[in-house]
Amino acid sequence: MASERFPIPQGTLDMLILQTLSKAPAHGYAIAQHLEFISRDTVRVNQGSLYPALHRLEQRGWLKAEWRNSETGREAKFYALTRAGHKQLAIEKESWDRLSVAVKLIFEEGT
Amino acid sequence: MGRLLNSFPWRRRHMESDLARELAYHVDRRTDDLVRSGMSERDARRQAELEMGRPTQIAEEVRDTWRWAWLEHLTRDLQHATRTLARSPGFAVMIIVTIALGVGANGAMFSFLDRLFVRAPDGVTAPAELHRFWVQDHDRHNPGKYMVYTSFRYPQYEVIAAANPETSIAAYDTDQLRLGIGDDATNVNVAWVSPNYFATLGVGIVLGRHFGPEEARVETPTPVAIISHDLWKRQFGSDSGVIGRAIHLSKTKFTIVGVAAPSFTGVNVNAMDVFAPINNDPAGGQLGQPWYKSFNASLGLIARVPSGTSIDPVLVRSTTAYRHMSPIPGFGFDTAATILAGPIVEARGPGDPQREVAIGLRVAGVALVLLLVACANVATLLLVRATQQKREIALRLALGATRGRIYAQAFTESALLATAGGVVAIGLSWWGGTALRKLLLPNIRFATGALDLRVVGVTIAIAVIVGLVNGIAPVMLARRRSVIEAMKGSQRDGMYQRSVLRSSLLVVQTALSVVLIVGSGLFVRSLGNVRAIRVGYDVDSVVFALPGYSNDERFSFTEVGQAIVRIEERMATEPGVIATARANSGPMFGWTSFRIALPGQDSLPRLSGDNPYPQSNNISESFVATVGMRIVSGRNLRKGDSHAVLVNETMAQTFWPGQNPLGKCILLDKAGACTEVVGVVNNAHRFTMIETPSMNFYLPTDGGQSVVLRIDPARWPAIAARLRQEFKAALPGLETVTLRRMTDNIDRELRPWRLGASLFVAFGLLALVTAAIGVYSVIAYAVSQRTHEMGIRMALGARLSDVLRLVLGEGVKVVAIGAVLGVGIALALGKLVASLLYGVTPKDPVVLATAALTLILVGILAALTPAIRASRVDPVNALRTD
Repeated sequence: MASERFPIPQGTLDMLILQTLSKAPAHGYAIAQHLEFISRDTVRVNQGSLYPALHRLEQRGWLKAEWRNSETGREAKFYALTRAGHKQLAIEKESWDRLSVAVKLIFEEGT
Repeated sequence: MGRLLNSFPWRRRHMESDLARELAYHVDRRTDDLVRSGMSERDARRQAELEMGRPTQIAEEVRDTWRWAWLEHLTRDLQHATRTLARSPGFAVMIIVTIALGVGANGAMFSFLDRLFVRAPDGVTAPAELHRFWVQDHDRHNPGKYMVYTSFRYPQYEVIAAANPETSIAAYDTDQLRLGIGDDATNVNVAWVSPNYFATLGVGIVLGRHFGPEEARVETPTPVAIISHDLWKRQFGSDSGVIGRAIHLSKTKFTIVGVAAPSFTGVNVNAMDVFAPINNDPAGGQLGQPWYKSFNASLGLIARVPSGTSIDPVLVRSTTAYRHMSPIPGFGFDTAATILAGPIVEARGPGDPQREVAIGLRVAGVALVLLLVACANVATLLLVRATQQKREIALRLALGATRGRIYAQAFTESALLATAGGVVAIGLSWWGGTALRKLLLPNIRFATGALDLRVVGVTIAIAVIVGLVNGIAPVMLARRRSVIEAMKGSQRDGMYQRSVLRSSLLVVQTALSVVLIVGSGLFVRSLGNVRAIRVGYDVDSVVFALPGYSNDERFSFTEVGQAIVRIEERMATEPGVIATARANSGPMFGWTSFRIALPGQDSLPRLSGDNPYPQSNNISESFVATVGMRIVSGRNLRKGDSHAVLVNETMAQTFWPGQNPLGKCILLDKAGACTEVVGVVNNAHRFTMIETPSMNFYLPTDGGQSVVLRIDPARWPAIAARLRQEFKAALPGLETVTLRRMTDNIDRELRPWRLGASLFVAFGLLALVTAAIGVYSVIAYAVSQRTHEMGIRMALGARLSDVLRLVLGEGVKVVAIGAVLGVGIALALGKLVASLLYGVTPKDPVVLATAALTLILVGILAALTPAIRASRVDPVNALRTD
């Protein structure tokens, strides 16, 4: 494994956020931490794209947000998946699966 | 639509601070974590901020998502709405037409009333400081009552202006004259103005000069003129060399000294083309007096009182001066007259509005009612549809669409329909506004078109309100229904549920339609009643002709009399002339007041009403037969009769109640000899169709001032031409001949009645159609929902007639409730139109019952189609399908 961390590819950040939030509601910082931790620090979450993404998903009605006390006792903005968000996640997962299968097939054919 | 709210500033501020807090939280947490891993507090914070990047940039990107999100939603909603509507074009068209009619009617009314009531004359400075003077005086015809009018005589203006040297008060008279000579001559509106007119109104001059002190001289006319900017453009092609040029106004030569500022067309709605000093006013100088002493002209007075200063002292001084002037010998003005002030907009002043304007105001109310009917109808249609769409909505809710999105879509759809309706309505406003002007005020030339930005703005605003109001209804319906309920409901609509909302909308529509139909009925009956009035002449075939009024009276009374005799003789041979006669005045044209007396009586009995005293006409012996009057008793006048008189029935009954009037004596002047009543003629009206009975008597004449003919109306053009020719031959040098057909008079009088009737009928029919659409759609929907139930009923042995009755009963019940309610509303609103009716009260049972029954009948007809469809339901099919 290269020590360099990958920026998250364009288009997948939304899906990863939805996936993260499908477990439990979280605030922005926790989402970033979670993504970096789970990927074993392989991916780097750029705050510059995380927050616009969160707001975009909220605008689309896939996330809903509310202010509540975080684990540190301070108020943080928690995001949670809406029903539409769950549906969207399923759609994105499915197309991702199909895409990765396809990519794999293409690579295998090449070897 | 909810997202659209994000662009509102207050929402925006909230979101901004929200975002700032969110980002600050992130930096703080990161700092804490870094400190925990051993960094110094300062380094940790710097590191955290570095990782965050420039917060402004993030904020900007986030803002972008807010901005575009609503646009994205809007686009999607619009697409969705267009698609849905395209699927049922009939529905869409129905709604768009309904909205367009309702909104367009109001746009047109606004266009009309705005000019008349709201907008100050264009081009004047600070119109709020300008006040129009009115006189409140005792009504000489109705003791104890007051009348209010705007017309002043020049001597009165003089004393009022002199009493208020500190205040600038302008006077003007209006006139219509021929501009130019010969065939090129056109009619122009001329204002005769006091020299301070432009200064008082604060109207500038774009070319030339204002009127100066030389135009203030009263002794000699100063034939100079300031022309309107519009006339300058129209007639002179905006030629800057127009100053100093001469124009002819009805033969008098005027020199153009100035061009008024653009858009200024005087202070009345009727647009003025030429302004000339008041010392030229021909209305002033008749009766042999100098014009500035005469009481002929009728001037409007406008005063400028700076804001913050009270006009009351000016009015008090004016009133004193005015009363000091009165009573004017021979005019009998009341010393109790009071000067009042009103806004510059004449229609808003204290006087009674013109009948046409009064009708316009009522029709504006009608237009509003129509808008309500249209709204109720559109809401009904949308509701019915929302209900039909409930499965779709429930499905989408189940798939995770937020309720907000569903509402937004409903709103978008309604807004789209309202916009389309609004666009059509703008066209209707323009058309309707123009038509209303022509219909209601045909003699007024408006300075601007019927459609301007204000009208467009108001029309759009009304359409938007309609869209919002109607968007709410389906949303409310959607909110009440839970997903499960809707999904369950969609399984089987076995039992159809009546919607209270839907039924009440239908009731409202029906009720308002009844109100409009009642209005139509009342106006139609009034028109009929007025039309049925017998004025006492054969209106259709009677015409008369007299020398036109000219400024220089070259012909003496005797000269005219001799000419009239000759003309009558020559006209007798003209084809189409059935009978000829002579009279001092044509029928319903003029009368002579006489101070007659009865022998041995100090005072005469007088009538109450408009015409308390007897008046006379001098007629030739063929007059009675020619105009279609008849001798009730006694005999007609004969050639050579000298002390003979005909009286009408009212006069006979008033002067000699219960006695035989024949042979009675009246004294034409107290010292004179007895004039004997030789016959009684039928009552004939003095001037108008609507008037109280009058006492009229007829004296013989050898001459006369008018030729009166009974003709074949089809030959009128040829007869008119011959009359002109004969008059000019008999009276060499005569400028104009006045030709009158009695029908012209009558038509002019019938106009407002016809107008009221046709406007109300038009709106009433619109409402009726709208209501019919409403009833049809609701019943049709109900039937479609109850197919299953019908199937069961039929399967259980219900007959066709049972089903028919069931469905019809449903519709008729709702409509009947509405009809009853409508009759109630009509009764309550009746007094608003009472003053515009003739011979019928707003409580007229026939009209009320007819309106209610009409609506119920329309309801039955509208429900019939769906009812028949229901009765044809095949039980097997109905039960098998979902």
